[in-house]
Order: sequence, then structure tokens, then C-alpha cells
Amino acid sequence: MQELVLTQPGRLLEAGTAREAGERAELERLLFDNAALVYRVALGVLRNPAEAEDVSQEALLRAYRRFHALRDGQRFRSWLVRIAFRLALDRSRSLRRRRDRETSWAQPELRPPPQSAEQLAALNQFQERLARALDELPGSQRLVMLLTAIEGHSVGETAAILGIPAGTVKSRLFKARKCLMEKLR
Amino acid sequence: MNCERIRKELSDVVAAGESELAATLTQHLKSCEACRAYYEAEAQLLLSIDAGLGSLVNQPVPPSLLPRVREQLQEPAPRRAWLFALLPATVVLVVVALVALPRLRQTSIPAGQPITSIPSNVPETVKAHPETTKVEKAQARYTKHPSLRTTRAHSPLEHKAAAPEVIVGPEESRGLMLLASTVVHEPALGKALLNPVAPAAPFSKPIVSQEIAPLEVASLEIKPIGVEDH
Repeated sequence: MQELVLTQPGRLLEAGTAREAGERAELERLLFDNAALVYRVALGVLRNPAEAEDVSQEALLRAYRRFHALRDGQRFRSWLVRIAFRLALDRSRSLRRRRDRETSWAQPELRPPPQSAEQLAALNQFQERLARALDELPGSQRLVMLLTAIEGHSVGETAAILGIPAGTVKSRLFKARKCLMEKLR
Repeated sequence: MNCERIRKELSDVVAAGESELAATLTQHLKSCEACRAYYEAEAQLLLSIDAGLGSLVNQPVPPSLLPRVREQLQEPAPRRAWLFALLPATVVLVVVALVALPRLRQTSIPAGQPITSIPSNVPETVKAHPETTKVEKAQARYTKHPSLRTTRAHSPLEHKAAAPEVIVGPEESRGLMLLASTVVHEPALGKALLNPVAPAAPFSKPIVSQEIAPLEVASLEIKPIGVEDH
């Protein structure tokens, strides 16, 4: 039953509706303030701006619709980042499966033309190797690497975003770097 | 010192993001050119990793992202949760309807006729069936009470006439579903239930109301505690 508030003689306002509208506006503000963070996390996983934008949109909408399920409002950023990360990982796996299917069935003329040695040399091979090595990291280490790579994110900031101790962030960073260095050495 | 062990320590220092080396490591690097080159390569590798990640994630946010989200927020959210919650019940109702419907349409009851008791054209063997007798008695008890609603056999696929529809409660609805499934498994009973007949004799009996005497309440005698009756 909605609470009714008498503000002027003969005029009734639905206080519940006004309160809900205010909460909605606040939630929208929170979402838009963190949209860049969501996009960068998705981009770090997908490495494709269009796909990252799609996943970011989905993550923000999902957070908006499931906000009532969040028990601790203080952990909003952590919750939002995790939603985006999971969605990006799911999308990445789906794209990989589709790519594998298309590669196996592709006609020779539909494949991209073979690149010359010079073209291959011009490609950022290190970036590709880095991307592959990043894909092989455990999710928790990968997320920490991505967050600390975002400008302005120190270890402390990353710990605050994820809601975990700074020591845990350092530990995961250490393991992730060791693994990447071994694969890229 | 063992260069292999030194190099492992150097890798750990670089991975930890530390810039200062332990005295033993510094001392070794002064004299070992190979380990010094290794340390510089490790530091450069980590810088390349950080730069690669930075160029990957620190790209401008597409200007279309926020407008797209705002547009979606204006639309009503899909009400999927309640739909999925009702899905099992919906599936059950659809299955029961599909099973019971052909049986209902096969009966000789016109739409809108009340279910009363055993029809006169039902064979004697059916009338004499113990379950038939139970149904007749149960139906008689049911229709005695005017507050109970009558359930009507109504095929949803038939053209709906102007016959009034009766709203049934959830318990009665469940009963109807059970009836539909019973009809499938016991056709004789189903036929007995669904054929219309003239009201049975018990219906013609007048309902006699009973007077209930008013309750007499004796007056209470209040006594102090500890005072005994004499």
C-alpha cells in the first residue's frame, strides 16, 4: 500500500513514488560515474571497443535492474566491476568459440590474405603475446592486473574498488606478473 | 654465488615492484655482468607489460555508451523473474488442459450446464459402482449448501455464449485439475460425472433450520484469595 502525503489542501502526492524517483536518480548517477571504469575493464578482457561497449551497456543495465539485490551499498563499485568482468569473460569465451567454428568452416577465399613478413614484423607481436598470456591468467589475478593498469589506480585504489585488503592485491599482482614475465621472456 | 638463484631473486624483486635491492644482490650485480644484464631485461620486460596493459585499457570511453544506457533505462524492465517463477505451474496447466480437453469435448454436456449427479442413461453397472455412489453422495452434500458455488464444465475452445462464468478459488481450481486428470484414467467415472441428470431426491427435501438456544452465562462470584467456602 503506498504512503500518501497531503501537501496542499485537496492535493495528494504519492510519497513512495517521489522517494523511488529520487533513489532511481541517485542510482543512475552512480552508474554513470562508474561507466568509464566498467568500459575499461571490459576492454581489457575483450580488446575490442565495440564488444566492450556492448558488454558495458549490459553490465550497467544489469546493475540497475538488480540493485535491490545488493545488500551493502558501500560495495557498489566492487559489485559493478565484478558484473562487468564476468560478462566480459562470458562474451570473450563466446567470441572465441564462434571464431573457432568460423575458422574451421571458412572457405579459403574468405580468410584474410596472408601477411608478408614485413607486415607481420610491423604488427605489435608483443601485444598479441601479452593478450594471450593475459587470457591464461586466473580471473582474480587478471582483474587486478587490469584495474591497476587503469590510470590513477594505485594498489590502494584497486583494493578499495574490489573491497579486498591491499596485501591481497599485492599478492595477486606479484603472482600475475611472475606468470606473465615467464611467458613473455 | 649461484647466478641461477640470484636471477630468481631478481625476478621476484621486479615482479613485486620493488626498486631497492638487498645488499647481497647489489654486491653480486657489481661483479656479474650477466646477472646485471638479466636484471635490466627483467625490469624492461615489466615496463613493457605495464605499457601494453595501459595502452589496452586506457582508451577513451565511446560517447555513445551513456546515451544508449539512458535510453534503455527509460524502457520498462523486462518482467522475467515472475515469468520464470510461474513457468512450472503454467506448464502443468497447459499439459492438463491438453489432456483433459478432448475428454471434455466428448461429453454430452452442453456448455454451461452444471455438474449435478449421475445421468439416467448411465448403465446400471456404473450406477451401482461403489465409486459412483460415493460421487452421488458427495455431490448431494456439496449442492445442499447454497454458499458453495457450482462448477461448470466449459470447453474453452467452444464458442462462448452469454452463459455467466463462475470465478473459482485456488482450491477449487486445483480440484478441477485433479478431476480432469481423473477423467483421463477412469473414463466410466468421468462419464458418470459429466452427464447431466435431473436433481436427485435429496435435493427436493426442505432445509430445516435449527434454533440454537442462547448461551447462558452464570454470574461470577469474586472471592478474595484464601477465603474458603463454607
